Amino acid sequence: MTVKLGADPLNTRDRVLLGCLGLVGTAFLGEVLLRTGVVSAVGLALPSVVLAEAGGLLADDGFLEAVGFTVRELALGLGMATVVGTLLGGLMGASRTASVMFELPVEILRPLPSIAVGPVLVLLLGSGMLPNAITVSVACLWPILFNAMYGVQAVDKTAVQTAKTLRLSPWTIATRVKLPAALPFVFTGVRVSASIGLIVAVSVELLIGSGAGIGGFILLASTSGSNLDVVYAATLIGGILGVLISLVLGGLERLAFPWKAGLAQ
Amino acid sequence: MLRLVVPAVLGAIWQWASQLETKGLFIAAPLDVMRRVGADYLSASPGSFFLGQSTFDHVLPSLSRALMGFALAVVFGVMIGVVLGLWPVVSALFTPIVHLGRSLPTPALLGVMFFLFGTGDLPKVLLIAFGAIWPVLFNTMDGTQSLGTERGRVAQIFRIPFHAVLTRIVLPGAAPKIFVGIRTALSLSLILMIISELQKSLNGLGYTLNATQRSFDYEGLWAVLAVLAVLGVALNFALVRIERRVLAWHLGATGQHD
Repeated sequence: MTVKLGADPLNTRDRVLLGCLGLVGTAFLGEVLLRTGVVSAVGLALPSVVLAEAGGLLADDGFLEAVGFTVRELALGLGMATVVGTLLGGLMGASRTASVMFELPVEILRPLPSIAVGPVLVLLLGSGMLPNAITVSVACLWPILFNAMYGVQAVDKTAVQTAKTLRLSPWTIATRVKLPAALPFVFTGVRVSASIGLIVAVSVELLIGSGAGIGGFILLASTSGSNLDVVYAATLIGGILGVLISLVLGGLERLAFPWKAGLAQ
Repeated sequence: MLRLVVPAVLGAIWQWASQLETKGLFIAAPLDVMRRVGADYLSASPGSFFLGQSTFDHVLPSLSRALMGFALAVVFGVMIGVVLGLWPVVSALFTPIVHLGRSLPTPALLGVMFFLFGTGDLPKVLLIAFGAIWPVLFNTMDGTQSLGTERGRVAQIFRIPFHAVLTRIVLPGAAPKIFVGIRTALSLSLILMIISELQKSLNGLGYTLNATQRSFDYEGLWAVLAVLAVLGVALNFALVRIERRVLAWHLGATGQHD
């Protein structure tokens, strides 16, 4: 068997065609395996049934309301994480003192599974969107914080020195030189966070169980008997929503920071 | 000294908040939480490795399920990722599915897992594995694809056998990216560990989190949070040590310090 590492990349048209083929083929294979009884288990659903169910859900006002709740929750959480993460991360990147001061709490709080703070927040703030959004923001904070920190640290030294030579104040240097240079990194952090954020948003809805959002919808569907097709369909729509969000954010990134395409990782 | 300023301030805020008239009822004082962690999760007996009853009843079952799911995710994620990454046609076929899987709110499938795999540890482990596999798979695929043509040509010219290409070129080359995925997988594993114990469960930290809250045992709830933080820090520390050892060459070559 020979392997051609780094073989010629396919062109976009071929990749899109093959990707569609992969999706349709996998669904078709699943359909055939289940229909012919090669694979059979209680709890598996036919792809065609799940798709039909998903179509039904998209016309269901209750489900659309749940999706809206989750999206707003994610946006609120991501927004809070972006503000706090950029400020704190920027501060830690700009000042050695700040980075030493905040290092210990960050290292202790970062590995804490974010959804665990959900129940405590519900006790303190009551049920509603805010405790969920804060939980999401706890999960989203770290990639943004670290990217902001690296972004500020990676600012072109010559640019900063030039600004100093021009006798710009430290505040002006921070806001006009360092922050714009760090923004593409921050955005990368936001993009990375968004995909984790959606998973955390649905998780915390399941955990708190107030019935709101996609998680709440799925919880109700899975407790009310053997309505597994709906669970699969709602999960699938959640996944497609996640893909759409990351596509939109990726597009925004290319639009807003075309010059940093190679730099941000 | 400077290091301790912020933790001290946070501790003071925590202490102050716990004394508040109404909200304070839900916030256990830091010292009480520590005492509770000591009483429940630790013990003075060397025979039980200084660990308390709750550690054996809840922490270890949770931890073992999380680690099993995480290990399955890493092993299968790397294997599938390499296979998908090596051949452009195969990766083009499966890229949309991988993206979809990565965005799937896996925790929602908890109920389905119970239907499929019964009520024991298996559905929980598999839920963790299914949720944590995607970042590993995606990053392995990405890392394998970005190896570049030069190393492949060298391997061809010297007729290096396939298994050697795999273990000497592909895996080490993709390792830095693989570890990025593994880190995400670890934090997802802990989240899924908690979620997987919400239903049909009689032990574990997620179960305790729910049970203490339902029985208004807020000190116990905060103690679980403290244990989760310790667990997270410990697992993260272990992973960083492994990563440093495995990627020592890479860190040296690129001059990174993290």
